[in-house]
Amino acid sequence: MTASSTANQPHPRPPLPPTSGQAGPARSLTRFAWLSIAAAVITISMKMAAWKLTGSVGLLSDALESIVNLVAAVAALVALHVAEQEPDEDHAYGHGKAEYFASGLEGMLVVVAAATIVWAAIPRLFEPVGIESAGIGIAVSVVASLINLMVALRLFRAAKEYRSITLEADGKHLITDVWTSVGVVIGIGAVALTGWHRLDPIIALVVAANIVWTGYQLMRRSMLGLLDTAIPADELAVVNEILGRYRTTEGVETHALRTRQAASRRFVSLHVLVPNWWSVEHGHELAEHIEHDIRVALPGTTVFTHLEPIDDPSSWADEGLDGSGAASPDTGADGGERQSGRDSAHRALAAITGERIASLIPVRRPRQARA
Amino acid sequence: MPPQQSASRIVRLASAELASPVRKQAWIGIAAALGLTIAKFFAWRLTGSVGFYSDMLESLTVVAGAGIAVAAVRVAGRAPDARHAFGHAKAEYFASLIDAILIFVTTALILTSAIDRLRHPQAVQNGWYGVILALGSSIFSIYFARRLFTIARTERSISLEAEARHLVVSAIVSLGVVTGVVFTLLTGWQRLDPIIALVVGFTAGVTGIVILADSLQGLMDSQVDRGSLAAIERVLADDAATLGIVTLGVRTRAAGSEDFVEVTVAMPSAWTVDEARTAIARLERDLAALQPGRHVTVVLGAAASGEAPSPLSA
Repeated sequence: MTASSTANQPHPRPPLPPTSGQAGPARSLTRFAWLSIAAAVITISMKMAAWKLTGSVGLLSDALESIVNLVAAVAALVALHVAEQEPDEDHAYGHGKAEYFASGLEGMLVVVAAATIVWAAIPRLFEPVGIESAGIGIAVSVVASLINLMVALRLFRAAKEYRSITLEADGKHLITDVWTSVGVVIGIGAVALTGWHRLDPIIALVVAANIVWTGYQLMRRSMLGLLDTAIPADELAVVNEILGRYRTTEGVETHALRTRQAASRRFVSLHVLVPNWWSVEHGHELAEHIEHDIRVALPGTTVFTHLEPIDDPSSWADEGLDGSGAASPDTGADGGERQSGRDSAHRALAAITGERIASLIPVRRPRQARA
Repeated sequence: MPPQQSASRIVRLASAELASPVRKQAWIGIAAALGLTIAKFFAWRLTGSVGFYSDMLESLTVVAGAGIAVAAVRVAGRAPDARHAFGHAKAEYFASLIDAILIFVTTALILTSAIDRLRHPQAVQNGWYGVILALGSSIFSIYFARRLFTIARTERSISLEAEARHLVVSAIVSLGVVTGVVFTLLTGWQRLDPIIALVVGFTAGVTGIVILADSLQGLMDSQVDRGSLAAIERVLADDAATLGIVTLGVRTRAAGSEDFVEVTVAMPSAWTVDEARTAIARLERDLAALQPGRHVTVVLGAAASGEAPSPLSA
């Protein structure tokens, strides 16, 4: 290192304020899972008590179904507890992914619940039966639904605040119970008004379809989360905006932007290309600033920067995941959104219909992820 | 589309499938497991033995598992895209997760039918035909599992390895059932058949738990195995000493047949980025050379004070 090259160093940067960078809230999220457990215990006891009083088998099966809520809430509790553990020897990136196990399970339970509704409704579609005397059963189930509704709304709020997919899934699970009860009440009302007994199973099937959709969405999102899916497009835009700022003001380049998520934690990794003659100290400082800005804009983000000299051709040829330069700048890991899926869909269509019809279907151009 | 064209398309697709050794093995695995299931189906229908019934169900989970493995290997092999910048290798864990769930369902079926038969015992008919069928299929299973193991090792595919392990368990289960039926035939003790079926059920359940635990661990961003980690640390120590840098930390996570290694280093603050690049490239090259399918990222964690000879001059 010669004196002249040190003289060329850019101006020193102001020191960074300390950032917490923590996604985790100060208090444990498990308190919301306990809330859900309490709600499940209360609704089960209510239905059990009503069953003891009336002897209605419907209430007993209703109580048994509520046990599923309890199981789900306990799963949420376990998942949240695991997810809050600090990174350790065996899990250097933390335990956030555990949240997806609970949300996936909730999705499955929701679909099973819908299946039992369909199972019960279809025979009644062909052989309508009169509705048993409603009375206390309906009253208990409406009160239980109100409890579930309140807890679900609280869970949704917490889920949004702390970006917890487990809490969101548990909330959605409780909401499906509410929908079921609403369906029952509407079904009874509609039959009473019209006298058409088939209306009750039809309404039940509509409710079931809605529930299946909820469960499917939950399972799908959990699966994608477990498969290292990128952060949502709007958050990616925030990152790109920050990087764009550095590109224009600092004369640096960035590429190979890769993101993934583990429930409330995001992971962002990128290459930062700086002038070859910059010192390591200066390059590192810049990288720290970029990391800091991303962390401030998206709390709970872990950022990895890989520093490279901008004038070295090999720096530009390592965008692929293997660092092999398999990817060209625009269609590589950070460019071609769902490109391969589209391509294969297009090819499959062309194989069936011929290229002329397939060519009418627009093929999305690779999105310019590098702004 | 004319029929011969669609036929040629199927042939083309099929030959593309068979071009990759892993996919080819996975398909052969499905065919073999299906054959075993059919053999056991006949053994069950012939004898009415609940042991053969549970054995057949167990083989059916092998078929399903192999089918899922084909899909998983296909997804895992996809190139990284914008939504999955780190590749799709984790799909293999997901496949084994589904596999585990299927095994649990089968376990429940086996256990309920075995308990039912235990309460209402029933004589086994045509026992010896069933014994021959089941014995033949389990010998075939073992031969086949050995082949799969070899391919799975060379191709580093956890789906194929899981399939092979599953086949071995299936073969052991068949042998157990055969032994049970033979004893029933010799002694005339009817309850032995459902008892063996219960054992089959528990074995299947344990397999399910093992597969489930493996896949959950993989999906949790777990550290690579101890041996690999030790090798990484050795290389890091060697390189750090030669290059005059300090390793601040290393994080790893396994993803199916691939893995990710992130190393944070400190370098002399006076080095230029050009010089740093040489050191980083050396580290990345050495770490990646330890294992195929490894993705290495070196992060500059801090600029250490102090002088060290430039790696460019070395």
